Amino acid sequence: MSRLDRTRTSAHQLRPFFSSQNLLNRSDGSAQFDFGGSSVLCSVVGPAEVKLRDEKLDKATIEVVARPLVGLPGVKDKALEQNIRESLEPLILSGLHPRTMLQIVIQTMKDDGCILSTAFNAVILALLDAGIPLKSILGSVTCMIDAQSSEILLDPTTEELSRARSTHVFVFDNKSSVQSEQGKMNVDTDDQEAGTSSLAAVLFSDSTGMFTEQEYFECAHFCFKASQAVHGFIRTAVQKKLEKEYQQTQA
Amino acid sequence: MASIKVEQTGSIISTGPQIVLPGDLLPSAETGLLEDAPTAPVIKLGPGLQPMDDDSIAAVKAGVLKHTAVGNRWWVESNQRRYVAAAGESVIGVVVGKTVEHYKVDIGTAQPALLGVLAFEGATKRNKPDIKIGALIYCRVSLANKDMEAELECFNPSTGKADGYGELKSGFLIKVSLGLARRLLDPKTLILRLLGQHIPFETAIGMNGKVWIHSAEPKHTILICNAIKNSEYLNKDECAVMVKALFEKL
Amino acid sequence: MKELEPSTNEREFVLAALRDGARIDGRNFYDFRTLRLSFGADYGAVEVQLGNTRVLAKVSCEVIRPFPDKPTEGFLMFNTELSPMASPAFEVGRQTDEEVLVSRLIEKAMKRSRALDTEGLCIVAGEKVWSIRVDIHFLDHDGNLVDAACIAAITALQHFRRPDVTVVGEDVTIHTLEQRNPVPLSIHHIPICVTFAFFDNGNHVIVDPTHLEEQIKEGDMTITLNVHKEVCALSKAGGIPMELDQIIQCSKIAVIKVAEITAQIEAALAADAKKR
Repeated sequence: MSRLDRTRTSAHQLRPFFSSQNLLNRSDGSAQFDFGGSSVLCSVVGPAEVKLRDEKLDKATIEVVARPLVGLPGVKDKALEQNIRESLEPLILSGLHPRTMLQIVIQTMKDDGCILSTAFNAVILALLDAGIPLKSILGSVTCMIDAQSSEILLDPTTEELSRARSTHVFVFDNKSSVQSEQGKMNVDTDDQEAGTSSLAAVLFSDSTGMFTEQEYFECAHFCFKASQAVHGFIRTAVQKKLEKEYQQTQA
Repeated sequence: MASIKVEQTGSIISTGPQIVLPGDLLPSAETGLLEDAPTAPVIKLGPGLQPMDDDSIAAVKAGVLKHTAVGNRWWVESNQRRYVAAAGESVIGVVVGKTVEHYKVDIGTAQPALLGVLAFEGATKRNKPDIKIGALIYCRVSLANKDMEAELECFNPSTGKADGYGELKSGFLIKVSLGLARRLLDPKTLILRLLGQHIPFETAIGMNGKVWIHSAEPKHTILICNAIKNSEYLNKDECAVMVKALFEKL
Repeated sequence: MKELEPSTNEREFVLAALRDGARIDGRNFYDFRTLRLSFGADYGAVEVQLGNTRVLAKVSCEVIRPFPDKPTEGFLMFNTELSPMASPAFEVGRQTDEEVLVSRLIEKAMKRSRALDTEGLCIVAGEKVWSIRVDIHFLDHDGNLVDAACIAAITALQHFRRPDVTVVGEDVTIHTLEQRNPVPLSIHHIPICVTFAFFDNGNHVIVDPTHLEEQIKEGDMTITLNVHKEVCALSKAGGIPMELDQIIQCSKIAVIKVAEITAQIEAALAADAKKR
């Protein structure tokens, strides 16, 4: 079945990714991440000076600011801030920088659905760019269940989302071991029975609408597989940046 | 460097340039980190690596995994813009405040670092340098701890001599990434050599990404500053072309 | 987070270089930094890069009821909240003096110069008018936010298309973008801001200051002009006193800059229109 946006042929296809890192000069790290027509810019400042009332003696204070494309920040943006902050808190090794502030600012640049997933992926790239110590990276993918066909569509556009019976946002971490020869990920992606691999954990899951338990686990499974592509993309993005930095030092 | 005792097997083989991301585990076969081995070697972890809850060792930053066979040291070489103080590193800071005992110096860390008013070569209570607020200081991190403000000194602790540390007069300051600052400290660094072929200049490079440049003419200083900033993402040939073009315009 | 003052060395070097006829980024005194305009997939989204300064403008519209005393007049609103993304010194929910000044200047340059035909936004007198909203997002602050924001705002307004409407008696139909081609806004003229900074008691005048130059300047002035050499706004809020001759000199420079920038905006809009 072809998709509504006509550029994709399969229900499980993601829109093309795009990212760029280190594009703002006033912040300590920044990144833009696009899922097709959706784009989020994220900046990271820190570890920096913290206001006395926010100071934590044993760890860094994490502040997330989300800004909408149109209008003043509202409830939706506050929810986005909280979702991202609470999912990142276990991931960031904030104990290494006590009494400091880590400020993450998220700006929606273009909105064509799946902003939460796009924002998660932009944030992780910006944190990597800023060199914030992390336990692992993450990858986020959104899917929906079509109201008429009950088909699971990955990475839906705004138009597709208007026909959704339910939408599901997943964020997975990436615990993997480095293989000595190729440096490839050692994640078992075909662990069909459990639906997800034993190595990856769900960091965040948000579902709205009507769906059955079975449908939920199917969504989780497809999103997990798709999140591997996001992880791979993040790895490539980081690799490309490092290659640019090292081209002078290599003979 | 944190040191951990781990059980040992086999020999250590060095790896080629290997890019790691947070969450990537250190290869157990190469570090000798195998659980059922009899004796325990010591492995030293540098920046970018942390022991995890389950005794494995994982990267916490994105970068290139580095290793020396001597001392079995492992670390991740990464690039960032925000400085986190580390003892022994030379840095450039701006004096932002003064108390009876300390100068407060901004070196780009979360809190200003402290430089003792007597932490200069030959300074005594009666005879000590008077440094104004807003001055640039080239100094050394003497104490760095994540829970406290970093402490600075303006002399080499092994000789007690200034060794070039102290106030930087005139000149201009630019901010670059920490990775570029590290590369500039390498005496073989291309961009400084290329620039040096055209004009004489003085420079002080702080590990905190601050680079001070001084030359006879402001125009030369401006050119050098811009050339250094532009060089970060260029290859060797592009650097040479850029420097040549800049001097032709001068 | 507090903004740190530049060091004495930086301050003195910038001044010494100016006396020597040079600026720290290699520009001449009356040069703007490289201006880049990029358009989003939607109508009315423009990202402006002026050197390292980055601004995103997004235009949107909705139908609302007009004020009873101005039944045929539509609305034009600006949102210019400074985001901490642009600089950690900007705090959420706390307006700095800089933010108030920037907002006022943009309102004066765009709204009060009547660049947009607000009467043309009327659908049914006293009942329905269009309200046009311009959200200006400051992404990276390397000085001269005002000029960059004005270029972004006026370019976005020109790029924007609102849905077409038909009125039959009392019935108002708003057509979706698929049903009918959307219509551009009616714009009277294109105001462009040119900001000057003064050093050394006004002996040195520069155009388009960077953040470091702004921190060191002794005074500034923003002139808003259009290509017809009409002054829309002139703002010199404080700073060192200037001689009248110097202000006239500045406005002459501004005329040239405005012509250049307007031509660049037109070229960018034409190139984008071709692609669609």
